Amino acid sequence: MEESEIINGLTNAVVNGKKDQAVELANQALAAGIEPYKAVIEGLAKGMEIMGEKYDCKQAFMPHLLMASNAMYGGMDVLTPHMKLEGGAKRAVLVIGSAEGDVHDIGKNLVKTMMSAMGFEAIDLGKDVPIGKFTEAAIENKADVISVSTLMTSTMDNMEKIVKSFTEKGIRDKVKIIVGGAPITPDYAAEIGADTSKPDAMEAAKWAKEIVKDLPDNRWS
Amino acid sequence: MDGIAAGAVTFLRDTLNKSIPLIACFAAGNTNIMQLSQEFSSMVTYTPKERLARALTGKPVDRMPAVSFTQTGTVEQMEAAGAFWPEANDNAETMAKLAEAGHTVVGFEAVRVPFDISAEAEFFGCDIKAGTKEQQPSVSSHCVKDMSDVQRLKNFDITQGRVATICKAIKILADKYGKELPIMASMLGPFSLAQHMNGDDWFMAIMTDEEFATALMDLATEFNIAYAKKMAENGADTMVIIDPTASAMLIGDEYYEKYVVPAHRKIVDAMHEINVPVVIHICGDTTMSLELMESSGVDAISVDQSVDIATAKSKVNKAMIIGNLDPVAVLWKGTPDTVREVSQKAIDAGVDLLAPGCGIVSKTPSVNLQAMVESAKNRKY
Repeated sequence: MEESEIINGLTNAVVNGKKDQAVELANQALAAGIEPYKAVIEGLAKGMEIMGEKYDCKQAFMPHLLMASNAMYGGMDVLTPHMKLEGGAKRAVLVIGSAEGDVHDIGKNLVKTMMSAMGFEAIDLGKDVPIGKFTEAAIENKADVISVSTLMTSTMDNMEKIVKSFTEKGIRDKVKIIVGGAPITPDYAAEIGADTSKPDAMEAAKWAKEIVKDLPDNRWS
Repeated sequence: MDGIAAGAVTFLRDTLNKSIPLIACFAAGNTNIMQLSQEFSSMVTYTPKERLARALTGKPVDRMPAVSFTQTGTVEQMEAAGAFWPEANDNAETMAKLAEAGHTVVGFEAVRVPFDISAEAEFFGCDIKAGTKEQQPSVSSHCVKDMSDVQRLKNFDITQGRVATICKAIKILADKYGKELPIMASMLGPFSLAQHMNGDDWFMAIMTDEEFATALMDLATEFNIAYAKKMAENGADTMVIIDPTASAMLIGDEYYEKYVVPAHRKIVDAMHEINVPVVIHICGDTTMSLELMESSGVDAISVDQSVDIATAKSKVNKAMIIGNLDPVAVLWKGTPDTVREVSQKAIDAGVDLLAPGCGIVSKTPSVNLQAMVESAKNRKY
């Protein structure tokens, strides 16, 4: 199979939510000597991007998105260990989790998926994450973007505490913070000192990809 | 009041309400008769229980009922009533006490239980993250992986677990207020219950495994019907189905029509058989799916703040539209003035029943809720 055929195949496997196909093509990509980074970004991630757009215009819904996400991770699990970074550059790091008290993680998982598709290395803290974990993980992984979700109004205060914890540790200016979830608005994000809130995972990922360009490279050293 | 007298009064009110437009029509230009008819109209009053039952089924009423179809518990009410979360979720007496505070402290013209949406999944064996004074308990693990789990859970006993506690609280409330106030009960709807049981895989299961998805939906629906009947037996007269995960915005019209509509229809039919009106609440922008939501036969649809009321009204055939004050920006963070302003906008847009767009946030000040109550009561017909 030609390189373009494999790459397109990876995109289609994600769009159609075919995990087995994504895994098989990812292995073929490696065998054919295709740059794994290229297979991820131009193949798998592109498929996820297409699904994000379809979701936006209501041609695809949560089930399709999850099937696609599943397929993308299937392919990425094969390709990521072989990925060499372009020119020694470090991938942008995302630290993501649901606020303490909130056990919901579907929204968080979608944001993680879309940001992974945009090339982020995702450190997933899971759901119901203790407040201090975010700064801890940010320092340890030299994070670029912090994403906190909550579906519940009762845990919105914990979001504010998380943002504050970055200021208290003196690392607020080293990261960009995005907050999201059903009850969260951009006004609320501004009120608690976060950088933004976006209406969906696709918008969040697009924002993150752009905003990391504003962060100085050597700020963690 | 005995049954016959009560019936006679209801008949009289009905007649008066129906005749008013007729009188007004025939008497156009005759101010005396017009005034007379208006006086009759203002004389017609209902108990809150009658008023809500009529309003939900599209019958004329004197004014808008002031109720909340979504959870009512707040910290201020807990302090006033001496009944706090999390105890109020597990103990029937405490639960009833806090529900009562919705009426005695805030002024809602109904009492409503429970305050959370996790008792249903807990009943089937999902783990629960305990709630706090300010936060509801929530489902933290899932209990159905495959068909064998569905089979295992089929012989459930509705008299066990927290769902039985909720029924007991309903009984306490009905004994005390049942003649006067609506006794409102809510339960998690079948699609969201299935998702709680199966986890996020559920979204994929409806696409890839029809047999399993149908079986789990059937189990959840059967549970919902048995539970709703039990709540009605204990005195609940208004049923609210909260089915947030079923949002067509999340799963699309195709799957909503396939899995959600038939399930909701079965619950609605079972409730209508015993004269209990049904409200469906689904969060998010449900505008495009309102017709589909109505097709299950629900009496009323509760919408959140992202739905435009006038548009929603134009989409439904006869279902009442309930909503849609933003529980965060308006009811929690706003002032009584902003609440009144937003309430008036919803009323002017034609909302049938003014209410919060989703569960009331526990830290919401009572004065804000009271401003909503006042706005609803001021809407006279």
